[in-house]
Order: sequence, then C-alpha cells, then structure tokens
Amino acid sequence: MAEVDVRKPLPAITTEAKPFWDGAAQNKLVMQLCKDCGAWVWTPRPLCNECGSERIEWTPMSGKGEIYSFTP
Amino acid sequence: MSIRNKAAIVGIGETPTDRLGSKPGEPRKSSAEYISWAMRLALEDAGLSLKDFQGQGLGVTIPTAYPQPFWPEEVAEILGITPGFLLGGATGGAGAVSLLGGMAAAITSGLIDIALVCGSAAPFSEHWGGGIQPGDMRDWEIPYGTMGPNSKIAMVMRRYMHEYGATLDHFGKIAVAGRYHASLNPLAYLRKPITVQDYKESRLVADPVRLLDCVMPANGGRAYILASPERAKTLRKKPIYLKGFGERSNPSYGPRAGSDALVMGVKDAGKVAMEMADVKHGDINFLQLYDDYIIVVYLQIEDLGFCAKGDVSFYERTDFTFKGHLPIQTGGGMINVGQPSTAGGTLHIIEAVRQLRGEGGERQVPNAKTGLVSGLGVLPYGKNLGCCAVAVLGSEA
Repeated sequence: MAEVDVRKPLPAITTEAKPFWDGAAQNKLVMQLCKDCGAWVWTPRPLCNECGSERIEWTPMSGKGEIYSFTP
Repeated sequence: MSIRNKAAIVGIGETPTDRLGSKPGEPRKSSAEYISWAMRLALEDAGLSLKDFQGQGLGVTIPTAYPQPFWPEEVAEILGITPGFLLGGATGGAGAVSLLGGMAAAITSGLIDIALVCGSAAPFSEHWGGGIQPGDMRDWEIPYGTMGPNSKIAMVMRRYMHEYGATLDHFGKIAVAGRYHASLNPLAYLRKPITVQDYKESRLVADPVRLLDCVMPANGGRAYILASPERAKTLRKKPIYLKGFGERSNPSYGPRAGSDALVMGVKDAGKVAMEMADVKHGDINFLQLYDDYIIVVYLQIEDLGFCAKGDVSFYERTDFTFKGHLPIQTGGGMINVGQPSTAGGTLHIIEAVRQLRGEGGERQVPNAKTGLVSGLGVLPYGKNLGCCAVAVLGSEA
C-alpha cells in the first residue's frame, strides 16, 4: 500500500515575524513589547495596537502560561 | 444626520438552497444562475425591472468560494446593470447587513434612490480552488493544526462553558427552537424536528462543537431591494424601514493582544443600532441572528443586552419560539436553511422583512412591528468574530 506524504503547511516567514522564528531557532520564545506604553503585541506586526507606537522590541518570555481553552 | 427611516426594504428574493453537485452527474447551477434567480425573485416581489437600477446602487456580497476580487463588477456584467454606485460586501458573512448601512447612507445622501443588494455561492457545484488565507490563519493557526472555524469556535464554546457553567442543554434548546421554525418554513433544507437529546447525541466535529452546532454549506442566491421612503411608497409591498444600524469590525475587549473571546462586537454595534432606532429591548419583537454556530447565537443574545452576561438561567426560562417571549431564528436560520457562503447572512434580513410584512405564514410572530437582525463575519486569531453589523427594522417609520 502506497504511503501518502502528508505535510503540515508551514508558516510564511514574513519580515515582521522573522525575529520570532530566529529566536525559536535558538530555543528562545520572544514577543514584541511596546517601549512606550508597555503593551504586549501579538501576532507580530509593525506597530503597537494600543498606542500606535513603532517602538516595539522583541523581548524574551518566561515560557510559562495558562491554558485559556483547547480543542483536541 | 442619521439614516434612521431614510431607506426601506421593498423587495426580497430567496432561492431554495440545495447541495447539487456533491454527487457526480447531478444537474448543477452556477453562482451566476443563483444570483440572477434571486435578483429576479426580488424584482418580482417589488414590481420593478432591471431598468430601474441603471445609474442606481448595486451591492454584492463577496463569497469565499470564488476568490475573484472584481466579483461585484462581474455581477453587474452578468445581470446587465450599469450601477451609479457599486459596493462590495467586504465584511464576510456580515456583508448583507453591512450593505444595508452603506446603501442607506448613499440613499440618504441623495446619491442614489434605489439599490439592489445580492449574493450567491455554489460551493457544491463549482470548485475554484482555495485562495490565500488571512495572515493570522496562514502563519499562526493552520501550521499548528487549527482546522478552520470549527476548531476556533470550539475554543470559545469550551471557555464559555468553563467560565459560566452553560451546558449542552442550554445550547440544545436554541438548536431545537431553530429546527422547529425550520419545520414550518417551506424554504428550509433541514425540516425534521429534533430534540435536545438529538443535539447532544449528534457527532462531535471539534469538541465541544457537534454537528448540530454547525451551519450547513449550500448552494443558493439571496437578494433584497432598498429604496428611499418616497420611492418605497409607490411600490407594491409595505415598506420595511431601516430604523437603526451599527457596525463594529475588529472589535476588542481588553488588551488587543488578548481580547476577551467571549464578548462579541454586537455588544457595541447593537447599542448604536438600537439608539439610532430609539428602541428599548422590550420594543423588539424578534431576533434574526447570524448563526454560523449555536454558541454564536447564544452569545449574541446576552451581548445585545437581552440578559446579563453569563445568566444561564435566562436561557432556561425563555421561550425562543415564534409564539414565545423572545422569538429567534423564526425561519430556522442559516443552520437549517443552509449557507451559500457569505450570501447566507442575507437570509436574516429576508426573514425579518417577511415577519414585519405579516408574511410569516405558520411561523408568524404575532403583532411583529420591530425586529433586530445581525450579520457576522471572519474569525481572527484568538478572538471572537471580527465583523459585526446590526440593523433594526420596522414596519412603521
């Protein structure tokens, strides 16, 4: 019986998300943090959605969190 | 300046829905055929002809099944209309309700006097291949195993059950009321009455979402005609006025990177629409709520303010049938009539107009004078629905 090659679709490494994937390649979880208002920004984008600032920096995360919801 | 009572629905057109094309050799129709069929029905209902729309408004919902960005123009070409104002419904499933607001604004401004709004899709009989997905889905959902809207709404439903203690009995009651109404609607596709037990035993699709939670895709076409009150009074049917309209796209509750996924944008869109219409909750005789899922119908009822957030007892004591305290989905909704992609949401406007005209037949809401309609579209990353439009319609200006 022939095996079917099923591959998960891969994300496009967009320019705004590249630092996330570069971090992941080094085993680091990073997320954008606004230097002006302190808001976290997710998913990766060019500006802070709370205050509009472009002073957003890739910041290491602890890797700890709580599960909000799930579906198997 | 308000658009309150500045435009009225004067014609409706709904083709039967079908799933032809799912089996080889079945006779099939195209999107173009469904849209022209729906348009013809709306013209007949209003007593108008195509000539009445030259230089006037044409609005077209943009289907996900046919990823062609110039579809509204293609529809003008198919129908043979030269619109003076062409709008595409860019808010997904909310498109038909959004276009009520857009076209009413154009009529109020004097730009046009009358508008045809239509949509169709034929997901079973036409196969155009997938388009490009939105960036959040493409990069942060699909690669991690999220299989489209079923799994996204499953996470909303699970969190809601965890937070507020709602059970399958609460959701089942809504499913049963919708199907009961569908059993009284000759145009519904799923007409066999169900019980709460049937709902609870239907197969799991994306735990906790079950088959009877989900809307059913179908082929079909939908249309309505909107006109100025002066023009409306010269036409065949009783005008149904647009009394209030509100829209919120990309609503957010709490931090934008962590919006409360249990709150829907109809909370604000509904408030704007009801204030414009100058109506209170007790003035509203029925709700026709966008229904891609049962949980979404459930959440809208509380977010529109008909009960407090998380008050599950309201769902236990309220009769949602057409004879009850708060009639909802009086024709069975899209879940039972079927969803021709983004044209599906037009159904709720059409059913509201029928009820307000007194054409509800066996499922007529007694003394219906005012009704609320919603449209929803798009499920963004980590949030509830991203496009929310609400309209209040009434039989008196």
